[in-house]
Amino acid sequence: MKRFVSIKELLSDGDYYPYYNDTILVDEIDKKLLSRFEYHINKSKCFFAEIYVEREWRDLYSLHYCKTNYDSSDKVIRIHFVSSKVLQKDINNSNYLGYITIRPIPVALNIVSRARLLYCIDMYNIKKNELVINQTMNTSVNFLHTRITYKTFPYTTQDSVVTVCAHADILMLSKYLYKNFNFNFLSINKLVDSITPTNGRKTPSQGLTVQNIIEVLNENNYNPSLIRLNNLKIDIKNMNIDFKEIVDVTLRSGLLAMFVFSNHVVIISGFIIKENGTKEYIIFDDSTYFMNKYFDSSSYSSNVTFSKIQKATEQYERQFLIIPTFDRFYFKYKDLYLLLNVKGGLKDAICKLNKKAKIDIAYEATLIETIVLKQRFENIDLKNIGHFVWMVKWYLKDTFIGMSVVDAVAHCNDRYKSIKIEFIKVDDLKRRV
Amino acid sequence: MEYDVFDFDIKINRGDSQKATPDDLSNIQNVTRDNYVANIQNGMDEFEEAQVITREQEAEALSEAYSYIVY
Repeated sequence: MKRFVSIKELLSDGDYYPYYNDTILVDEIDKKLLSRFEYHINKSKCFFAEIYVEREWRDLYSLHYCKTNYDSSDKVIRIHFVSSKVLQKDINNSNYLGYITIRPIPVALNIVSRARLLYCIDMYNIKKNELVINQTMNTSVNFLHTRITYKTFPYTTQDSVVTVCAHADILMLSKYLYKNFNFNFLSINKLVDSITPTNGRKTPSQGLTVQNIIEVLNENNYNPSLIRLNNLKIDIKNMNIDFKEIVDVTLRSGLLAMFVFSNHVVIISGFIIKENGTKEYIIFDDSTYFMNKYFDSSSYSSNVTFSKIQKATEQYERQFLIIPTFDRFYFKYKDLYLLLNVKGGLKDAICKLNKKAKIDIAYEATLIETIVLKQRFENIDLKNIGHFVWMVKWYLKDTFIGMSVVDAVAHCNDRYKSIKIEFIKVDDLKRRV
Repeated sequence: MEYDVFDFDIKINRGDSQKATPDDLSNIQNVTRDNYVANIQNGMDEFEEAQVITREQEAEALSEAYSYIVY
């Protein structure tokens, strides 16, 4: 492993990057990496490079690159980012900023294979009293002298030959869900193998249909919900479920959402509630296509205001959300929405008994493990109930007034037994200390 | 600040939000099963209709997904 003071110096070293003597290419890659990972590169005082065996590249190499005339090998270049100018033996948790891997190919646009950069809240300019949810996972890096474990997001990018944005996003989703919830892990080999190609060949990929994505996720027990939006909402009779509501529920429940429009897909991993109540969404974009085109950013991840999302999507008729869900979970958010909001539903019942609350009542639903709820409250009596429940918190204006609990394993048409606790007011909730 | 789903004091609306007054809260009552069930028949038709619409929308989404390509 060798130390460098800049990425450009590293790319110009023939021990690492095979196209080191193509100065125009090296310059282009350097610029692309800086714009994509600006926050982490600017914080770094030095970089360590090593040749690394990476599962994703190994798959791409065997599927395609070993059959080409490129001077590439079956290994990637792993670049560690370090925030102080230290020797390798002094890299530790306080100065390590994560790593990226780059493919040994002469194509600047698709040079990045994966990034496991340290999750830094500062990257999103979040102020102290703003609220944030952002999904991360733990990852570990082994050096000769130490193992460093830190929080990151499993960012992966397409190579535009074997894989496109949909593959990259499925891989991100898969890694996150595998690490946090023990979902089945998907490799590029497995992914490519299980997709029926549109042009008769599996590689090069001409893109995946949304149907392809759903099928792959289904086959691997990711139980994806496919939601088609019109102007960022679903109309059910006179009721609207909007993008924000669906995505917020998903993120609060610890999951991720794939967001599709304009023939591209990105991952939504978090939200930020600003002081004035506006929402921003944290997006990971494998190719930065949306970032550049719609969101005034060239970063691999950025927080995007909801109004920018509205503006970006207004000219596209079709938008989809693809949301993987847990096994042993059948009562989807749409079913819960109807249970709560349809005439004669839970909201009506609460309002009838609490007339003063009628106008200003609001709720927030979160899918959680039943055991977690039991651990939090002494008097929540949940017998004969599935692995997951919907916790519905009721608010009057901005004051928490009580809670309902709905069995998330119930049948979607069940308006009776699905409700385990109709409404227990806050004074009667006994929280465990 | 990290959003905690079990933090019941989080102001969900933020912005120009306001707390409920003691008077607002004085009459909050628990909803029993009987209260709920007594009410439920009112909207049964609407519920079933909405269920049908959501299933149709899901089927529609799936048929559009068949021809929508991402690359």
